[in-house]
Amino acid sequence: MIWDEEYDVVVVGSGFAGLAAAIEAKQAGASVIVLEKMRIPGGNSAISGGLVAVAGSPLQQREGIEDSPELLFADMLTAGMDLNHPELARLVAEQSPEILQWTQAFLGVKYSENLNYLGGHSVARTYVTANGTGSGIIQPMLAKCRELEIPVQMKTLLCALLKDENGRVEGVELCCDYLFPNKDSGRLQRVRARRGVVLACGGFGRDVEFRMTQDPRLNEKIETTNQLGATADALVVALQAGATPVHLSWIQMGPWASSDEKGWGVGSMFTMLAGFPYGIMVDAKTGKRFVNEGSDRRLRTDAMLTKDRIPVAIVDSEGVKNATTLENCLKRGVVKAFDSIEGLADFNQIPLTALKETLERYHLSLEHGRDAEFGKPLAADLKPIEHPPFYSIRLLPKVHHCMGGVQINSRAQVIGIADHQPIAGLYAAGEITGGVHGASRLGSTAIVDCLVFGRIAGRSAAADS
Amino acid sequence: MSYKKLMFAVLLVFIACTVQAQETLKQFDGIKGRSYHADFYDGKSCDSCHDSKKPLNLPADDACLSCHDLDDLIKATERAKDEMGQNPHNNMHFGKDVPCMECHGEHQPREHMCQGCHSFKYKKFKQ
Repeated sequence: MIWDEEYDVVVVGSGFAGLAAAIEAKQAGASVIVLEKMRIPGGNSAISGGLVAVAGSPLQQREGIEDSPELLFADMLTAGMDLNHPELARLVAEQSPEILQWTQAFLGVKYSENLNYLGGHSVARTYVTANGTGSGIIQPMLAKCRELEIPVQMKTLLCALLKDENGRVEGVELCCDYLFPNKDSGRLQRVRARRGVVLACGGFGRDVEFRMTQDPRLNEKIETTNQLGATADALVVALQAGATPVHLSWIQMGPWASSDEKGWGVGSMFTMLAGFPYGIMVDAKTGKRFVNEGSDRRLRTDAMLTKDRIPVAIVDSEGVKNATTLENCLKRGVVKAFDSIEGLADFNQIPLTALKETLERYHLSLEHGRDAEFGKPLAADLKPIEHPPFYSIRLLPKVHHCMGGVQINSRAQVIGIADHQPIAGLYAAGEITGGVHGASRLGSTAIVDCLVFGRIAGRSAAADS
Repeated sequence: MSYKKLMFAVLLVFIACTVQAQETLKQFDGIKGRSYHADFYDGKSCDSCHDSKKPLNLPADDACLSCHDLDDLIKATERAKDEMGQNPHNNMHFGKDVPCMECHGEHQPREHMCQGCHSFKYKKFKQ
C-alpha cells in the first residue's frame, strides 16, 4: 500500500469526542491528526446547549443536593428503557465528576454558577457553560490542539477504512479538498494510522433518507436542531468495514424546540430551563396538560406529536429566573409576555376556562406535594404560576439525537458483526456509537459521553501496537 | 388617486428591495462578480483570489484575508453587549474559524451561514 501520509492515530471528526480523543492520544505520546469533512470545526458540539450532567459535583454540595453516579446511571437506564449497554452507561455516570474537573482544570472551561434540573433526572445536576453553548468547551479544546500542535484538517471526507491482510484497520481513504455536500469534489488520499483510527463523526439527524429508513415518521417535514453535516456518511463507512449496528431506529426529538424559529434557536434553552421545570405544558386546543413535563424526552415528544396537539409551555415571572435566554426569546418573539392569564389564553387561542381549571389543579398538586395526574416531580422550590408577567412559548419537537450507532466496548473498540470481536485498530466515540443511551438519551449526558469515550478512545488507540 | 399613490409606494418599496438584494452582483465580461471587485475583472486578474489566471478550483479558504484584515472586520461588525455572540466574524459557536466563503459568494448569491438556525438581521450583508 502506498501512503500519502502517516500518523499513529487518525481521528475522524472535530466535535467533543474527536478533539478529546486527539488530545488524549497526543498526551500519551502518539502523533495525531484530526480530520473534518466540513469547512468549520466543531460539528453539532459547537452549537449544542453546553449542558453537562455531573453526579456529585461542587455545585450540588453547595446547594445540599444528594446525588451519586449510581443515581445518574439509574436515571439513564430509566430514560433509555433499560436498552442501554450497562457497562457503557455506567462509565459515563461514574466519570462525570472527572470530566467536569478535566474541562475546568485542564481546558479552562467556564460554567455558570447555577445548577439546572432537566427532565428525566432525579435531582438538579446539570452544569451549563458560561456562554450557554457547546463552543464554551470546543473553543478551549481547539486552543489545546493548537498548543499541542495537533493538526485539525478541514474539508476532508472519510471514504473508506483500509484493512491489512489480517483484517486490521491500518488507515483511511480520504477525499481531500472536499466541499460538502458535493460528492464529486476533492481528490483521493490514503493516510496510514500506525496504531488506530478513531471514528468521532457524530449522528445522522440531518440525513432524511437514512433516518426515514430507521423511523419512517421522520420525513423531510420534520425539522432538526442538527448542523448540515450530521449525515450517515461515516456510519455507513464503519458498517461497510463490518461494525455491528446498535439501536439505529431510536432517534430522539427535542421536546423543547420552538415552532416559531429554526433549529435549536433561543427558545430551546428557555423551555428546558424554565418552561418545563417551573411551568406547565398544555394542549392549546383543550387547555389541558397531557404529560409529565419532567419526564424524559421520548415520553414528552411522543405525547406532543399525538392527537394533533398544539403544545404550549406556560410559566410566570418566578419561573423564568433561571432562563438564560429570556431576553433574546422576547426580542425575537419566540416567547411572549402577558400581563394576565386571560391575555396569554387569548393570544394562544387556549380555552380560558379550561386553562384556569388546569392551573388550579396544578396548584393543588403543588400544595399536596404530589402530581397525581402525571407524576411530575415537584421540587421544593416550585411555586404556583400566579405572578405576572406570564410567558408562553409554542413548541414543536425536532430531530435532535441519534441514540444508535456502532457497537463499542468499554475500551471504545468497535465490535465486528461477523465474530463479535473488536475490529483491530478501530475505535469510536460519541454520537456515532450506539448502546450508551438505549432508547432515549437522558438530557445533558451527551457531552459527558463524548468526552468520557473520546478520552478512552484516544488512550486506547495510542496504546495499541 | 390615493389608490394610485399606494400602488406607487408599494412599487417603490419593491424596487428598493430588489436593488438592495442584488446591487453588488454585476455582470462582467463573461462572468458575474461583485462590484467592489471590479478591478479584478477589468484586468482579468483571476489570480487575485484563485491560485492561477485560469482557475479550475475554488480559492483557498484564507485567500480573502490577504486583502481584508480579520480584526478590522470583527471591529466593523461588532454588536451590542447582549448580542456579542452574533458578530458574524467572531461568533458564539465558531469564533473566528468560519471561512469567508462560507457566507460570501463572489460569482453567485449566497446566504449567510447563521440563517440555517437563527433569524438574525445583518443589514449590511450582501446576498
